[in-house]
This record gives sequence, C-alpha cells and structure tokens, in this order.
Amino acid sequence: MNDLTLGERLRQRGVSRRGFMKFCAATASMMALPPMMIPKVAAALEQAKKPSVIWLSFQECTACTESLTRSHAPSIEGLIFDHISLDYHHTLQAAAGHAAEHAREEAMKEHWGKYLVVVDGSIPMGANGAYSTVAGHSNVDTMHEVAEGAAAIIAVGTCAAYGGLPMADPNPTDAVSVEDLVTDKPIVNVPGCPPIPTVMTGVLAHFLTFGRLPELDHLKRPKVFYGQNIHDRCYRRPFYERGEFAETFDDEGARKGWCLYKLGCKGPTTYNACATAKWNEGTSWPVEAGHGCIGCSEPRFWDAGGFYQALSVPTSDVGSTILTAGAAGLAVGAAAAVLNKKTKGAAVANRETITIKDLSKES
Amino acid sequence: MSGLDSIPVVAEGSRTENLKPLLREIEQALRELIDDAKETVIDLAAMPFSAQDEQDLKSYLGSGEVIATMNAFGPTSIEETGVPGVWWVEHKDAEGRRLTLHLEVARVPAIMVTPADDLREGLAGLQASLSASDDGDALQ
Ligand code: SF4
Repeated sequence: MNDLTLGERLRQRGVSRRGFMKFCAATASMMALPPMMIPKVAAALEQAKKPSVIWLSFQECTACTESLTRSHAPSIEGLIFDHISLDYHHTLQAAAGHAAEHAREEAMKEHWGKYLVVVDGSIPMGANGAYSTVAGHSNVDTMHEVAEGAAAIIAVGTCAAYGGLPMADPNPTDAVSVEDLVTDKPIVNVPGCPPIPTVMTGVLAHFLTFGRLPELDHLKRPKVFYGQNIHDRCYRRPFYERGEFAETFDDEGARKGWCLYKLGCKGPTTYNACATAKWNEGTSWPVEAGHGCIGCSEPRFWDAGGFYQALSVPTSDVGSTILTAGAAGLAVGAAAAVLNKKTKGAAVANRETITIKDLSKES
Repeated sequence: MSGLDSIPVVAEGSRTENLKPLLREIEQALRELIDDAKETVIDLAAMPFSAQDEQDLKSYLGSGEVIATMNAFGPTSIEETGVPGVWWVEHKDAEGRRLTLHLEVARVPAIMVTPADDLREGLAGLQASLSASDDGDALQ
C-alpha cells in the first residue's frame, strides 16, 4: 500500500480522471502555480511516491499545528496528508512515550537520508537545553540527531524560522531558530505566527509533487508565497495611493475601509500571502477585518516596536505619497500623544473617537 | 433580533480595483484564442479579488447559453458567460466548499473534454457488453 503512487491511490479510491485533474487544479492553485502548470502537476502527482515525514514540536504554542489542522480545503489537503507518511508528530499521534520515540527511530532508520523533517518551535540553548525536553532528550540534541538523516527541513512558523516569541527580549531561554543550529541541510522557512495553512500544505505538496523544495528567497522562504509584500497585494492600496488613511479605528476613514498605515500597519515591510490566501476558509484577513498587519512573518517582529506605531521609514516605493503618508502618520502620533488615559475613559463613555495613542497608553 | 443581529452595522463590500485590469486580460486572451487558438486559464485565487469584485465581474460578463455540472471529486459548475468563449469553472469539494474559481478562455473548458483513456475504456466496456448481449438476448 505504501508503494502506491498518488495517482494509483486516488484511482483505488474511485477518483475518476476528471476528478484527478480537478485535484491537480486545486493543488496547483494551493502551490500558487499558474494554471498552465496543471498538466505538469498532474504528470508529477501521478507518479508521486509516499515520503516519510517526521514532525518535531519544540518551544512553541501549538498554533502552527492548530492552523494546519484547520486548513480550508480538507479534501485536497487530506489527500496530500494521506499521501505522506507522518511517522512522528507527538501532538497528533496516538502513540505515546517509548512507543512514539520508537516509531521515530524506526522511520529514521528505514528512510535515512530521504525523510523530510518539519519543525515548529524554537530551540532553547540555555541551561544545556533543559528548558524544553521530550522523552528526556533536549530539543537541541533531538534536532541534531534527526537532522543528520534528513533530506530537507521545513521550519514552520516564525519560532522555528527566526526564533519567534520565545526569542523576544530578553530571550530568557536563549532560544535560536532551526537555521541557527543546522547549517548543513537544505532548509525552507515558512514563517507566520501561525503560518497560513495552505502555505504549509503548499510547500509539502511541492515536495511531494516535484521531489524538491520550491524556489527560495534570501530568507529561505518559498518565493511563490513570500515573493510580494502585503502592501503590494492589499485591496486598500488605492486608498494609500490617494493618501486616504484611517486615523482611528472608529472614524469615517475606518468605516470607509481606508488604508491602515497610520494605525501601524506593517504591510509595507511584511512578506506573506495573507492578502490572497486569506484565513478561515478564505473568509477574510487582518487588514480586511479592519486591523493593520502586525508583521508576524518577519524576523524580529516581536521586538520591532509597537504594533500601533506607524512605520516611519518609507520602504520599497519611495514616492511622494508614502513620504507624505509617513510624515503625516508621525504628526498624527505626536498630536495624539497629548491625550491621556482620562480623556480616553471619557471618550469611551461618550462614544467619541479614540486614537491609537490612547490605547497604547493603557499599560 | 439578538446578538450580532442587533448591531446595526452594514458592511460595505470591498473592491480591489483589479476588475479593469482583469477585463483587459480577458480581452487579450480572447484575441489570442481567435488568432492563435491559444487557451487561457485565470486563477482568481492568485490575485487580490474580493467577493464584491467577483459579483461585479459576474454582472459585467453576464450569462451565456451553456450551463453544465460535473460530478467528480465533488461538484463542479461550468458556465459560459455572456461573452462567448469566456467560462466560469468553479470546482467544489464534496462538502460544497470552493476549491478553485477559474475563468477559462476557450471554446470548451478543458475539464469537459473526455479524457483519451476514458474513451478507450468506454469503448472496451461497450464492446464487452455488446458481445455479451450477442451471446444472450439482452437487447431484444
Ligand atoms: S499600509 Fe496596510 S492597509 Fe494600507 S495599503 Fe498597505 S498593507 Fe494595506
């Protein structure tokens, strides 16, 4: 059964040739490949063999796994997951204790040099790694041991990719990312706190389909998903270009869906696929829900200043609009600073507009 | 009225302003179909495109003469728009959730064409049943 190709497995389940093409169309879309690649995806998936995957969860909050298990195309992603051999995932697997560790060791032995490792969570180096251990082994030891026989490693989530929240100042556990620790294996970073489920599955599907990793950028992120910043794909961009900004979360501009730049949106410096892939079965995404992007897929987003502080330095497109926008954003911030907590309390009582500065004065 | 219903907020549908460029892309694709028989598929999930944009595009393109449904790995609806050669192809999974929404510029969307292996298997099946009926009297 394990030797069946994906095409054979689907036919065995009664999926017709048209059904298979449909599956391939959905998979290509999930991998952000153009539709003209569908025949290539079909030819490759037809022959795809079942890879062994070992999933290691280190210093993390489990949101990456939560996100993945709530992916919004369960039939497609279910089939992809059925077609990988998830030999170890201590949050999801039924086995526990020695049996679970034995399953990991067996999978490593059997597929040495060929298995794929998925990691979520950062790795604490402090106190000889004692801050996080599984089955009596420190995460750092397990990472080295499992990485040795891996074909490639996928660092899922901002913690595994860049250290994430555990690394936030003062980094009490001396947390590091996967690539800080493993330097001799191909690594793909799939950042996000958590990452978009279809992006995670898309990377797995790419490996499954083509037997190799997708093309990566300088931060080892798959270009198809992280090639453009949020700002470039944001539907509020026309408001930004016209200099129409929401100044508070409940003003006229906010109600009209204007740009959230002055409310601290980090879209211009954040590379991710939220604007197209969206969240919760494609329902919406933070900017569409009225909150600026917090930049959760960027290195050091956790220590990069307040979420509600407008980016003061223009980024990629240094045009007159953004310069004006940046300067205006700062001016708004400075003007709002004169309001104190008392003003905010009164404003709440009277349903007046509250500036973001008021909110940040809360603490 | 209770809960969320009691909040008198009406969300305006957002637009991305990608509609016009998309219509130009469709125009170009149609020209290529006529001149070079080149077919084009546009994946609407690959660009920022809101529900409101989709509704606008649907009313702009209108409805054509052909509507087909396919049942393979969940339902698929195939509809020609009011612009001949421009088709909506929407794949859903067995629970009715959308998998992809494509705009296909072609004489016939690719998914509707019978796969060659299905043709051969169909012929073999028909021949087998005909020879079985020659032996018996199933068709009399
Ligand atoms: S600043 Fe934020 S809300 Fe404004 S256009 Fe850019 S990503 Fe969209």
